[in-house]
Amino acid sequence: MRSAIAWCGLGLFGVAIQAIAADAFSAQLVPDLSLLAALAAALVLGPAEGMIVAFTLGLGSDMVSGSLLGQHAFVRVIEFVMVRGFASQLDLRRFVPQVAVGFVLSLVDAALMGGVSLLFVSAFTVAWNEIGGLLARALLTGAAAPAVGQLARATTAWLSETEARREMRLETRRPVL
Amino acid sequence: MNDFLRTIRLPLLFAGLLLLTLIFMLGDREPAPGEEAPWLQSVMLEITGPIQSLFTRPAEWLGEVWTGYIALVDVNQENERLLEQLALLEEENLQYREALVASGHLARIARMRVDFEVPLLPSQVVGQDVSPWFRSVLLDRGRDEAVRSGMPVVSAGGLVGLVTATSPNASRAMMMLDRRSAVDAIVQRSRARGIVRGTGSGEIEFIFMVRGDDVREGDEIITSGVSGVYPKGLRIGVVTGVQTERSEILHTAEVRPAVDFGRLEQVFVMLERGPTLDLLFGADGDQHAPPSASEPEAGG
Repeated sequence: MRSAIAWCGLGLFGVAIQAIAADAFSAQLVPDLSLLAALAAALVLGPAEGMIVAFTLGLGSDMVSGSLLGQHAFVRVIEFVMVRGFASQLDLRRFVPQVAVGFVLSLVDAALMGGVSLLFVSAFTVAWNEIGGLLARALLTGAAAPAVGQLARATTAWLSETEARREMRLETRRPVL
Repeated sequence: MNDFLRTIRLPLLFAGLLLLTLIFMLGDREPAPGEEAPWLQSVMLEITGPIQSLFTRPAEWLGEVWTGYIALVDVNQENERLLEQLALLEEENLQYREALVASGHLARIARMRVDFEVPLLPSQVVGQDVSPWFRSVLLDRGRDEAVRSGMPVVSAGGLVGLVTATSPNASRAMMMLDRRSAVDAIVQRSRARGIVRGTGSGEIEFIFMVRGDDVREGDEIITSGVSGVYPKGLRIGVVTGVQTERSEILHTAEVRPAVDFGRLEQVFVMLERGPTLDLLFGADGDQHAPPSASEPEAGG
């Protein structure tokens, strides 16, 4: 539970960083940190906890975006399930599969966002000149995936270590008799 | 029984979360007139506004230092050129005024200005959209300063967009560049009418019905004021090219926006909403997504 809360906090911090970076550069030149945090959550957390974290991160993105409320959350939950599927087939602790999954998920994210917009807003066209930006963002997201994965593992290890130490301290306070 | 529940726990959670997002999206797509913005969104706007402002202000300050002190190369030459240009424009302006006075229009225009003058609330852009699929900005003024959904946002250059969500101290505005945006517009020279749509890729286009050669390169596009969402006469942009291959009836013109959306810092919220939006949102109420986001100003 503590891990899930920590992941929500870290992921939302990632969304804030993404918003600031999008302000300084362009949203297309910033890796999708919210998506990567959801990906990492799928790898280091349990299925139920991870799904709730992915949903929360999606809602966080909805708050700082002009999308419909729940649109990113919807997409993140589906992506979470996809990552769990990939994880059962590939070793996602390795560099290349992480990059590949980050790249593919970024493209899937675009397709799902477009699809949901088409369904709910009925006005969503993608211009040809957007494809380049889309691919650039997918590449950047893929390239950033191993670093986020590393951070995820380090955070989880640190949290479980802290938890173990806390339990040990509680144990020593028990009366002997 | 416990085993069964444990087995279906994950599919249930998955379905439950998806259902929840669908409910959110449906609620956001079809707002009920006069309702407040969703409380969760209001809270998040309140939180993200100051945080983003905290991060963007130092970046802006650094940018100002750069442009104001370090990058002052060739300013003297540019200054001379601008002064020359200003003198020419002043002269031109004087001639127009003379022509208007001569035709008796000036007095009428002065009366109209009083009738249509709208209070403008200055506001800072404190954040951009995180998603490349949407084009919106976060503003540092909200409901406490009488900002409501559906109010037009302008800058010194021209039309920026429309307020779509508000919290007490922050608001979100959908820019004209957003692919869901549609503004009823006219060509200033020929009065040809059409719709300016955001393409989503940082550009806008003017879709119009062909009636001869009534849209040309260099033409100024302004808001038509039809349907009462945006006031008439706000600058939108300049035509940079006309495409004729779209269809025989409808043509598309590429438009260079009058506003530099990449350097948007200070904007003004027009503290008045058109009658159409009052009907849709309720006179005092507020909502998240305006209907004009998906419809061309209700046809206007």
